[in-house]
Amino acid sequence: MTRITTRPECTEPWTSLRTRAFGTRPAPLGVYTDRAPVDGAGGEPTQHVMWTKARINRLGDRLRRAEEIDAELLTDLQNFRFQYYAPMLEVQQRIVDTLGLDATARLKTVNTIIEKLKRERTRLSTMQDIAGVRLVIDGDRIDQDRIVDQISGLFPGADIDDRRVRPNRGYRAVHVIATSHGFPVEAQVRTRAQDLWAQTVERLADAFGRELRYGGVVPGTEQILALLAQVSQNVHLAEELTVLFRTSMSEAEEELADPQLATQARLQRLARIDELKVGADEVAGILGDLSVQLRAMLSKITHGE
Amino acid sequence: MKHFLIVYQRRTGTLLTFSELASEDPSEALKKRFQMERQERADPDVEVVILSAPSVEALKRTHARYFKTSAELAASSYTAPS
Repeated sequence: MTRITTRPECTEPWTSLRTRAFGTRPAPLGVYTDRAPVDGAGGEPTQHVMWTKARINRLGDRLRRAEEIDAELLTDLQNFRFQYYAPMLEVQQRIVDTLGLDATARLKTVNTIIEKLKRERTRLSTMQDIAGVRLVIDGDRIDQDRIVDQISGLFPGADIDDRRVRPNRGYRAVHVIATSHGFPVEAQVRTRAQDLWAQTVERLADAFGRELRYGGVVPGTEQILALLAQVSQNVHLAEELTVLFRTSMSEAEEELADPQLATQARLQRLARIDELKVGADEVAGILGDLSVQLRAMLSKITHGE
Repeated sequence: MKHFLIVYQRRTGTLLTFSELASEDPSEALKKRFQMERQERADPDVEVVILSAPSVEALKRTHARYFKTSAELAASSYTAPS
């Protein structure tokens, strides 16, 4: 490993320095890095910082305790997040180029990092969503599963957090936590319905307070939250039914193609498909009604924001 | 990949800034973001972010919250595809 010596001025791009230091090997969490070009004096790095776990967690403690974010604390947080940037963009580019999918990438904002540190009392070094990539797919859960598999295939060893079955306060999606150059990058894969739900709650939380997303009680929003919980559950049911329907259709089509299939069995298959279709239509109807109620309630309490 | 700067006031749901950065250089985009973060750090309800996306349409799809009210989001269909 080539150790980069301290220089009073450094204009070499960080990615170039990093490559000289580490080549293409994955870097440990504590990496030698430039001080990112963001100090208040005009952006020239002044020293090289080793982001050990201890240092990262001390930064997390400072952020958690801070009443307000001063310039020095913000600079340290920016330097820390800077390390995740190139790995995040690399993950995004691979998904876009290899799978032909649209994916949007972002580094977690200052406020959401601090809110998470305060809310969960988590350590900054264990936060896995500092760097994030989001995909909102057209299609159902079978398509979602396929895309999750494809992304996992691009990043061997990636962890999968399936929140469809164990939702987080109604939030459903599948997260693939890939590792790029030693940094975790969280790829959120959502169906359209899952994403709409999440965006609605986030927008509501913007207006009423972020604690609303995490089970906090915000007066005046109890009915809305109860309705959103119903919507989440019904989206889940609708998506499950769609999978069942699609799977049964495929199986039935194979069976029905068999000229040897007895008439009685044939009728049973067709009846089963009809049942599933009716069930799926019913849930779609319920969702439609809930959506109308939700819209009316939101318009009333937020005045359309 | 395109890079979009968003400055968003959470409490009022106001998009203060939404601009596509002229340069596709990601380090320039991040510098711009960090500069805006320093400028806006006094207000904890102001969110500054760079979103990198293949297109503005892709961005508006994955981050609709910045562009629609909660009522507008709820008006979109929750129905799963059949």
